[in-house]
Amino acid sequence: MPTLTAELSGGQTAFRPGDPIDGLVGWEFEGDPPKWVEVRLFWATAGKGTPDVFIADAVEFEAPAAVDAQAFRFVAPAGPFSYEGRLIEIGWGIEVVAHKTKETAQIDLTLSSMGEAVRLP
Amino acid sequence: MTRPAATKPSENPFRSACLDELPYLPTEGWRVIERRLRDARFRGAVVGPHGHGKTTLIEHLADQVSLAPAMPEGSTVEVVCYIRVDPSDRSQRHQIRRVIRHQPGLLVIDGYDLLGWWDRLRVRMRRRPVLVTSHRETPLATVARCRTSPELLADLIERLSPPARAALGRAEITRLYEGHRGNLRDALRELYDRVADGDLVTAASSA
Repeated sequence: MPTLTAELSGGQTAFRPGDPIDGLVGWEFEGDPPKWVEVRLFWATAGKGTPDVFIADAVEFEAPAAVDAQAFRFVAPAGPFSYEGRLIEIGWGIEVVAHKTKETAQIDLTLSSMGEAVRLP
Repeated sequence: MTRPAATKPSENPFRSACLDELPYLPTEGWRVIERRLRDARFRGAVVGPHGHGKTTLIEHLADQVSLAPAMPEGSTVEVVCYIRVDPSDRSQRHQIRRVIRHQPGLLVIDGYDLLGWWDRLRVRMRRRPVLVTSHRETPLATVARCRTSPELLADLIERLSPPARAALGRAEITRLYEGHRGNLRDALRELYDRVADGDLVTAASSA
């Protein structure tokens, strides 16, 4: 079974717009490696309504070695901010996926100007 | 008694992503539905009121693997085209007319009764396999009538959150079912609100 991993520099998971999001992804495939490995910066909604997912940025590693690790960098976008309400939640994350591979790796992030998800009183 | 803490949307067991993953639980058995499909030469309708599982059932039937037992030996339904009718999307009309005429494999239309008169006629005149959902009977053969019951609602709640099922009890689930006139989707959405407000215990909020 292939293994995908992801970690962020310094274990930081809360970011403000414009902050660099630096990290390291690693993978280990038995046999032939996939055509590509991709790291995605995304936000997604959860709650009472239809779920939504939007990929804000992505980095692709083409023709990867079977076992490797690569650094990645994104710049935290302006929004939407992470949000926790009654009906909906907006969460950010980093996801690592590979061509024709079910296994993924994911890290949850917070994007806001305050370092934590927005909550309305 | 202490009121349980409110639950985050991403931990609410009645969030829409969890409802979408619920399976269709047939009341009359898959083999009966498969036989009707075969007898109707894959030109049939799934009929039922709002929130009774039509979309869940037709999504299951659109899966070629689940259709396989109903197909005549040696035949396959090569292509499945799935359309969820949206009357507010004018561009969809052209797409629907194109696929009704040219789609070679199984055409699945979720919302037959939302189509205009001409498009419903086009669907009925189509000689190739077609499966539709509708709130009322259609000229196509009815292959399944979606029915619900308080027991089915209780089963779904159990699958989503055993603590919520235990907290609600049979009488409350029956009241919930009757309050929504058998519409399970709306009943489960009400439970989302109860959990969100901290009025109902779930695994996430009781942890």
